[in-house]
Amino acid sequence: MNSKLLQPLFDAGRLWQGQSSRTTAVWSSGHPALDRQLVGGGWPAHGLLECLTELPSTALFGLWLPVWQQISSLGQGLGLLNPSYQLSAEGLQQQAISPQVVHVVRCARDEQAWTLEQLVRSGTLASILCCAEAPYQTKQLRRLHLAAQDVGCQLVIIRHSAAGNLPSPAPTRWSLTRDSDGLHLHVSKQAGRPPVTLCVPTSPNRPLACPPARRRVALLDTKTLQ
Amino acid sequence: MTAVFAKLVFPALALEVLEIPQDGVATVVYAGQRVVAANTQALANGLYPGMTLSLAHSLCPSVHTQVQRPDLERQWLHHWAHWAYRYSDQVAIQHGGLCLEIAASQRLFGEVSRILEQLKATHRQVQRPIRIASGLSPEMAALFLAEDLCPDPNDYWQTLQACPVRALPIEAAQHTRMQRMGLVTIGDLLALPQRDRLRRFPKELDTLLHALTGQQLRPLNWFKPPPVFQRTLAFDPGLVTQEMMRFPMRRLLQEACQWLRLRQSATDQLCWRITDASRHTHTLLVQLNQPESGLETLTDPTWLTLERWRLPSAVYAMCLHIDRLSRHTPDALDLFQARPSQAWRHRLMARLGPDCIQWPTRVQDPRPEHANRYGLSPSETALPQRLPERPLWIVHPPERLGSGATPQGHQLLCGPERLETGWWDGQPARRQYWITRTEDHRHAWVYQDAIDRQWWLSGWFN
Repeated sequence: MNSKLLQPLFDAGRLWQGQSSRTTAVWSSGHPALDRQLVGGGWPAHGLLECLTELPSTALFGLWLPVWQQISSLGQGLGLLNPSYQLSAEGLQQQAISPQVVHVVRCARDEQAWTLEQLVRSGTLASILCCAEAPYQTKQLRRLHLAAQDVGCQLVIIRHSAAGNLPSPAPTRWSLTRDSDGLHLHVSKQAGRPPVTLCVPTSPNRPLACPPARRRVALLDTKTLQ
Repeated sequence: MTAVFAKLVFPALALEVLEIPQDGVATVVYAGQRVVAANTQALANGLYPGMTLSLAHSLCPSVHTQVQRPDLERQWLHHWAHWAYRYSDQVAIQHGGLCLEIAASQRLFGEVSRILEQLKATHRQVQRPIRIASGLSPEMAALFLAEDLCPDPNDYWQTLQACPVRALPIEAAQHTRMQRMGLVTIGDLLALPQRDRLRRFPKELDTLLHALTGQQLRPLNWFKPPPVFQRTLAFDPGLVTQEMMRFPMRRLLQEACQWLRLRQSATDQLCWRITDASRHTHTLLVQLNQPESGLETLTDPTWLTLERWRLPSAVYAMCLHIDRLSRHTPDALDLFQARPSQAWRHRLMARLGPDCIQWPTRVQDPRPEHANRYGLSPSETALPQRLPERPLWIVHPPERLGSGATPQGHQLLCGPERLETGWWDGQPARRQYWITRTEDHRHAWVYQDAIDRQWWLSGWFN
């Protein structure tokens, strides 16, 4: 088979290549051990990502800080849809995220899918975090994924753990839980890798798992099951 | 550069404003018992402008008559002045027509003959009669128009000199006097020494000749686009669906865009006033994120706002009102640089409300709930030096956690950070902040009020 012909499809993420590596745009997760487990060495920079959790959205936001720090340092836009609490400009600045690039959008629950599509298609936001759950239909998720992939935007949505039993067009899905050791990730779906489970520990004396000054320090206690 | 003026006259204006068809039944428009305009059918029956109304009835008993509406004519001329403003920034409404200074427009639209051709073309497309002439002054252009002449700029002077003196807009007695003196053309009159002219004719003639030759231009009241856009369309029968409303709304938006272009302005708010069958007026406000002047950037949020609006039984009138303007300066971009589109913000604001997009901002206040706010535009303030670690999420208003030695369900990790402030605005705060860990392994930011010893949850780190 002529792989050159298929390369554009691989690059666009339309075809998955089993175990072989592929070139895909990613943002480092900020945790080297987690990066090693993620295809391409980080969270996909384009398309739909699904986090299955019953934790508050603040937990996912803490996990996503390193990604947003990288995007903010490039001056690209960030979007936050329906956060549960008021985002602190002081907290963001301390985490090296410029509040100027963070667009906080609020909408009704039934408008969430429409609003997400508008944000994705704006072409000015590199990463969008949707903090509130909504009863998405598969058709809506596929539409959002295609839009995000088309525009080159990372769209992260939170869904209840029960949605893990339902099929989803999101190429990357993981469940998120927390205990005294830290955050536990079970990446149940990603292109070309079997499921993997690992823990991102939180320091007992440090409120944030990954402060920017220590971003390069490996805080990961990997419990890989593959 | 010598000024060149174009004079435009709409011969069928009186008929057009009353929507009288040219080839329908014979109809004349009259004012003060005299016919001022007649349609083609009336002209074919021997009626002509200037004749008395009684003579018109004698010649054609079946002729329809309508009284002239100067107010409507003024409105139409105003509309056409808007249109002419795209060719020149010096447009005047004058004697039932328009007068444009076009010498300065040659760089953009070509030489004078081409500009005149472009001015005619718009009206030819809709078969509207129009007469155009140009000259070195509005009076010269008007004289050429009266004589049905349209000379090239190089021939203005010769053509003027060849024009008969009877074409001059002066009293008939003066015409007769000139003829008796052997003055046949305007050239003859101009050849006379000024001293002789002043001795033989009234001073007004000399002033007219100076204006006619462009030596002394009379001041004109130049048209300026109005500071507020307000245009109303009425419908009978009423519009019953939103689809039906879109066509007239788009037409009004097109006119508004044209007006914004003329004023070199942009707007961030469209106010639609929609009147239903019971004469109740509904206001539909379309708020934009930033001032815009393009048609597409105005129509898209309008449709979204319209979709969310509940249509009354029928719409009998709609009015578009724009009064919030700001200076529109096109972005300075290079050839390959695209302007980032803001249409998505307008769409969101139109559907979700004007404050649906916000940015975290910080103001200089020691109290966290006052320091961290949302703003409607991005802004950034430098952090104070040595600011202790702050949570990413502020719980506002704070949640009560009890009044024990430690907050209920929290383990104190780090602190205290003492805060004593707010004495100046009547909201004093004496607090001790702690970073805590909850039973479900979250990190929180809590404080104990130094006055009532109550614990409060103020923020979350994760």
